[in-house]
Amino acid sequence: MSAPAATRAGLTLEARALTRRFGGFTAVDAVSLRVQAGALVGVIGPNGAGKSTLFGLLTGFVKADAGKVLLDGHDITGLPPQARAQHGIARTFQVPREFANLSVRANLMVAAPGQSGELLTRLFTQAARIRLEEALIEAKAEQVAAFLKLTKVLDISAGSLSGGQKKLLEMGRALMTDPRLMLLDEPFAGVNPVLIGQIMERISELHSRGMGFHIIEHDLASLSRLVGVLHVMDQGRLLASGLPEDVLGRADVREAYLGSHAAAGEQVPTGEASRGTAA
Amino acid sequence: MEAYLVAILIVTGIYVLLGLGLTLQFGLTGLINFGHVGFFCIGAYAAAILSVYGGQPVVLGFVAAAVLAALAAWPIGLVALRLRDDYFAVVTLGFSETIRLVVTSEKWLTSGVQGIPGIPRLVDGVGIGSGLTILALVALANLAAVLIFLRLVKSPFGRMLEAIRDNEEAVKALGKDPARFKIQVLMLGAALAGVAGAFYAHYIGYVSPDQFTPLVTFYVWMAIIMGAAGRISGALVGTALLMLFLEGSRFLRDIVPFISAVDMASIRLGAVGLALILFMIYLPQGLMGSKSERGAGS
Repeated sequence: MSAPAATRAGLTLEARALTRRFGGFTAVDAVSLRVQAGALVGVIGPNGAGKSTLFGLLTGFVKADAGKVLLDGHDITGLPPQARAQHGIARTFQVPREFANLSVRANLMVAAPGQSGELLTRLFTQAARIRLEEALIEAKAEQVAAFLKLTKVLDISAGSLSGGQKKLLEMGRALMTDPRLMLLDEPFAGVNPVLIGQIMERISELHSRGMGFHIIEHDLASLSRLVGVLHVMDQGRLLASGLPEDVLGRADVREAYLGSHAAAGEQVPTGEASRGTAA
Repeated sequence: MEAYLVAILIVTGIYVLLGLGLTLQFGLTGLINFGHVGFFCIGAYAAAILSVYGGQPVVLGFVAAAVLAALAAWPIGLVALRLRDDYFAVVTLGFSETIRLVVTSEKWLTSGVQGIPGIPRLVDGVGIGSGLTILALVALANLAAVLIFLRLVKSPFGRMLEAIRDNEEAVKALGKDPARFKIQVLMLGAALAGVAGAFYAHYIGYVSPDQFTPLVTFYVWMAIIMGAAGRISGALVGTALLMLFLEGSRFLRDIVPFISAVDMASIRLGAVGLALILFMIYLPQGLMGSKSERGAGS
């Protein structure tokens, strides 16, 4: 049940005046922020605030209209998603993108980096080596599955998992890539409260081993207990950044949230309250 | 009658090779290749030109057929795989028609619409024995293709292809480049089609542009859809079923004598089309597919 080792040093990811427009709509408007190596950072904001688009820009799935993305000070704005992932930036998606027809085990095994068996030239010449690699990858996949409490469903096709389990599988796949920074897009959405607690423990554990996290979440109570720094986005802009209790106490943040959430009857947790009572 | 059966089996074997290529591309990876006949055509003409005009040994023709077809697939993969699935389908269809037009126009090389006759047979003689030998060779090629296919499917490479079919964006997020795999699969499938083309040229003994219309592509599509898009057994059973439809309908004329040959050709196509529609409605996973398994692209 030990966590997969995160031995590589963390990555510092920085957005500089990142902008993305869809037609006349500016989804992300000159957002600058920095995720320090090994930091645990949260992003909140009402629906349509541009959080997922920001993730897309940082991971290369969405092209920037203006601004830069820096990784440890190097400009990676022009790199495609797979190249950024190879540098150690792993991401999950808001709507899970599991390989539906593959088993959970195969989903995890696909993600392992540097597989000889993916090369046609080696496939027919180095069978023994590939068998050995496969055994190691499978062992790692089972370790990750155990870490995320997915052992029981290892041989079920991923398409038949529950929404929460798919979220966990996405995290597991990301972990298989030996990331140094994980960008999680709503990891708690659709997950039952008990499991949320478990995922949070896992995140804390990985974080304590040096892995950086950047998390989008609607579940303010959970998120503000977890992260050290909280960014608030609204209408494509960065509204506030700082310690969770400070940020959530600000009038403009409360207004942005109340504006879109009051109708649904949601409570906006304020600084201290969110830490102790919310669950 | 035996000779007729052997002839049908040889053609079936050639179509199974085509079907295996498409199974790899569509069934496993989700590539909608509507230009399969283009690679088949390149293989057939490569073999024909090398043996008839070049005087080269047959073996060289087969190698050239596979290599040239694969090489033709490379730029298409490079350019077209950046497009969305449906555009890729259109581009490949355009590619195969372009190949047919080139073959029709470049008379200095291909003799244009007159075609290239006198392609040597793989085995001399006209008796049933030579037919059986050719059939054995085709079967051997199929066996080799199946063995390669099995190795691919049960490997990390095959697992990646299925992952790409299920969700390409997620593959990118894991630091893998889907385009590399798709290009390789496109080239592999094309090489198989090229070999099928070489067999075809040496078996029929004559190639001309009108043998390589998109209809051939769609026959192969029908076969793998009726069989089961992602399975080797699907390619085998589906092709057998297709041949049963195509050849079986010939005998309809003996039973219903007042139908002319031209009418019959149209009725055959209609019957195959109807069968395809019925399959899509009642058995979308194909004869050999399992119920729980969704077809590629769904």
